[in-house]
Amino acid sequence: MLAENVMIVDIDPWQCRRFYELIRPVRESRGTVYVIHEQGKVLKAVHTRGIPVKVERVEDPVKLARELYQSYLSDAVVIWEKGSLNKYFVEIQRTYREKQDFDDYLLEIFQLLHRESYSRDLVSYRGEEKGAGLYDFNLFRNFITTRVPDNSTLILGVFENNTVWCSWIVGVKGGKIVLISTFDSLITEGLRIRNWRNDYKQVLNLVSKKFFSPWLGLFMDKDVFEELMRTEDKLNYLGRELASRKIIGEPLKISLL
Amino acid sequence: MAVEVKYDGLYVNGKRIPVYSGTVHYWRLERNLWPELLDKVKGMGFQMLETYIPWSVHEIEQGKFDFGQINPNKDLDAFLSLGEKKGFYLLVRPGPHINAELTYFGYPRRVLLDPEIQARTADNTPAILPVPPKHFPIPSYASEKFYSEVGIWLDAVCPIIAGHIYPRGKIIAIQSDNEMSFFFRTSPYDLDYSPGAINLYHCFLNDKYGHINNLNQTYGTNYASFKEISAPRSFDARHKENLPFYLDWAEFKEYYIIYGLMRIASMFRKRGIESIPIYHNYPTAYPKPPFNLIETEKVLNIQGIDIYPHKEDYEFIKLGAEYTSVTSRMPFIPEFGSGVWFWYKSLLPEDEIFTTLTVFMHGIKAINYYMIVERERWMGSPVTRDNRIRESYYKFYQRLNEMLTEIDFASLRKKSDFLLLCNWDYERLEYISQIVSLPLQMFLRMFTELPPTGFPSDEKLGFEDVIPREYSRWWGTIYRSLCKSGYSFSLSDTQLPLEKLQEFPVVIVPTFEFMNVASQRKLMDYTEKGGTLVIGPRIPLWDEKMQKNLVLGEGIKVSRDLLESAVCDLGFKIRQAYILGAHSFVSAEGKTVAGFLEKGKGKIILLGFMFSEELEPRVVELLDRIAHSAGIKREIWCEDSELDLTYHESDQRRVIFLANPTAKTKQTRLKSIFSLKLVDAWTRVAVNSGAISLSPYTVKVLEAAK
Repeated sequence: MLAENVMIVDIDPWQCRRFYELIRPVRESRGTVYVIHEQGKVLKAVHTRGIPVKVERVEDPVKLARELYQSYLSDAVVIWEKGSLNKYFVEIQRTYREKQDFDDYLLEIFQLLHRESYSRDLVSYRGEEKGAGLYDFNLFRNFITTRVPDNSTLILGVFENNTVWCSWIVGVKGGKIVLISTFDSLITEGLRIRNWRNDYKQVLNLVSKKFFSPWLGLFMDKDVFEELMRTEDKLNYLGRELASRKIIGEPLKISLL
Repeated sequence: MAVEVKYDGLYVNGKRIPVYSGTVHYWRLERNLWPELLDKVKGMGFQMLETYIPWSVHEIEQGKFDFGQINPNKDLDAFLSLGEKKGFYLLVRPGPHINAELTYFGYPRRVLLDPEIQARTADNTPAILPVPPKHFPIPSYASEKFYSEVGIWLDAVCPIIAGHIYPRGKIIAIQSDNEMSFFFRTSPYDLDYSPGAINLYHCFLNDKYGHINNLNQTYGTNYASFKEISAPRSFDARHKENLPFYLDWAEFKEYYIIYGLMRIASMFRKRGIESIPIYHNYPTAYPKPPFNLIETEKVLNIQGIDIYPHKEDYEFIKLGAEYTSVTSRMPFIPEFGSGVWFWYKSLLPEDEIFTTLTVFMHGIKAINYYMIVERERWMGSPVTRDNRIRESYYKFYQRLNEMLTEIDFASLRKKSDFLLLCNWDYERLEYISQIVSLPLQMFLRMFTELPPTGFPSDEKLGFEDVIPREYSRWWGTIYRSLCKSGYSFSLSDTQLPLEKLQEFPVVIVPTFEFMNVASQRKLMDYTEKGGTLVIGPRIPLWDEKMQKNLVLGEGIKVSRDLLESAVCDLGFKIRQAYILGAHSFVSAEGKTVAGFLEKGKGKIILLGFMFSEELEPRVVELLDRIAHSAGIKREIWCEDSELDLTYHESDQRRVIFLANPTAKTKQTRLKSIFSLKLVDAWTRVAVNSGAISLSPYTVKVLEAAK
């Protein structure tokens, strides 16, 4: 999905920070509990904040992780079997293939963690089901590699009081992402936003002029975007708000939804 | 050398040039914009520029290079000439390792794919570095074929660089390689087990021991030659007699990095880069094994640290800056975050303002802002690649450079009465006793919280204590107490030379049952020459080879009785305290648990106990007692122990840095034995020392005439 020589340019640092904090909300860290064992015999049990952790033996790591999570109220509980941890790192390095895309490699090494041989020995419990992030990532990957035509751009514009709150321009060529940018790259091209509901067309024209033709553009207010990111059924939400014109989709092929 | 390195900067023909520099990547910018971009850099008050010179950018095929003949943006010579014409001094970094978010980190792809050049893990696989946009196998800096390839690159680029070296041009320093660190895979048993690296390991042991019999005596083994020795691949020590084998591995890991830096440096020197200093940059703010700053500065002129901090990282920046300020010849940050790479949390002006003043506050004297002009795969620099300015960043750097000149910051020396040392023996022990080797520990720390010391073994190995665990706690308690005490202090490690130790009236160093005998003798010399040395909680009985060797503890009688738990006369709880036969310094239940001995013109104070609570506020009273015995007073301090204060002096002025590293607004009062008439150095407005207000995450710089 990610081209080896992807151009990543003109990223507005404030916009990027806002996006980052939306997907990784700032909250007070409570530390992490680690238990390292060798076929059940505990070698180390430690809390990153120095709170004593007592574990006698590891019989059922998944159950133990949940119990420790509830007892210590930490951000996460990590339980590693020493031999399996080593085997895992050996395996992910032996799988290296020079032609493989980086995101493909990352996906492979994360999916390996779910394999039966590792899923009980390398446990990371954060109080939610593992794998939700992987599902979204796979969805996005499939979308880029199979749906987006060559030499086209995907655009996201999020506005607060008619200033750009966050934005993304993603260029795709040959099923790979070859460009990542923000509306910062359009400022020297003359972009001026006074009323985004009209001026989004400027964005489309300037992106077409500077990069590739827009294939999908989504424009919305910040509160709508925040709701979209929070909601589980994103496609339904998107459809509803496009119909209500809270989100402007241009260009937008209905078949996408 | 035409250019000298001193604590306060680089000296060119005897004239001090403070190192306040900024990075511009010429090949990533449109050549027609270079002049205006450099004018904008000058507009911020910078007089020094830095650039990488990437191998993979200039090599168009093996042995063929483009330095502007094809792509004018790659005209290195023109860029250097332009920088000189604009009045800049120059720092250059020709690698071979670059990073700079380049695909393949600046190495030609063919070099990385060559199996003869690849590093190997303990399981004999290639070592993959999973960095966007393309993961790749790591090269080995013990591969002779690697150096042959590097030689071809340096043959091409060094003549261009040499043409601009002072006095012919304005290049006044060059960096050897970049962030050499096993490519962030610093776990002790991860890399490098390639044939070249194993050969290097054997050579290292040979140099260290001279004869195999000496090694056999230390290890308790029966090898016929060094070549028979298998490198350790995990920590399997059961008893202290096993430790020299593993401690040597820790020392070798440090040596491997230094060896690589030395090879590259000598390749520069052989190609005409002779009269300017050579420096390097660790990819960490606070160097611990396998990074050895002191040993590196025996072969290079300056060893710096790289930091990309957010405002919440104050404590970590402080540790690194304080440590480097004492330990390095010229405390330098070759890469200090001005903006950041795309897949990291962006640095906003509030981060950069706070953290920049923090590093100066804690003793850094030289800094290069990376990147001062933005480029692809970077965000948040004061000047964009299309020649705009990001105003809030830009104005900050303008004012910063003005202020540094107004207060003549380069002439100031940070005041420190106490010096707290890391004990390098225990740092190595903590490093090599890790029970799991995480290949990407440095990366993992970006995404998840790991224990600060990793996962060292909890085995006692025949000692009274689990040394890594107790060392970390003891050092931590003293450190946190010093932070709250109002005394001026700084940090270093036990490898620091005697002449530097003597700059501090009090040196505190944790000691357990074994310790390097040369370090012990140096500390004894320090006390004999008049210093007050504070050690504890144990007297070293064995040296680094686990041979009986009593140096520091000579003259102190230690009873075999142990006080498991007690409250000492200073009012805090102690544990595991030995009863000492020495002049009493601290007592518990009527017994001496800390004692002192006069040694030459100075004294040794042994604190023979562990602290029960890591955050015990009354330990500050212990520091009061130590200060009193050494004739030290608090000089300038503030009432609020959540704030932090340092002060720096020259003949003309005192400059106080007062930091609020919290998320709360604070009001405080300064106290001092001096009369303080203060001016805010940033705003040039007078300040009442009795009523100072600090917003969250701010550093106030307060100037007081002497």
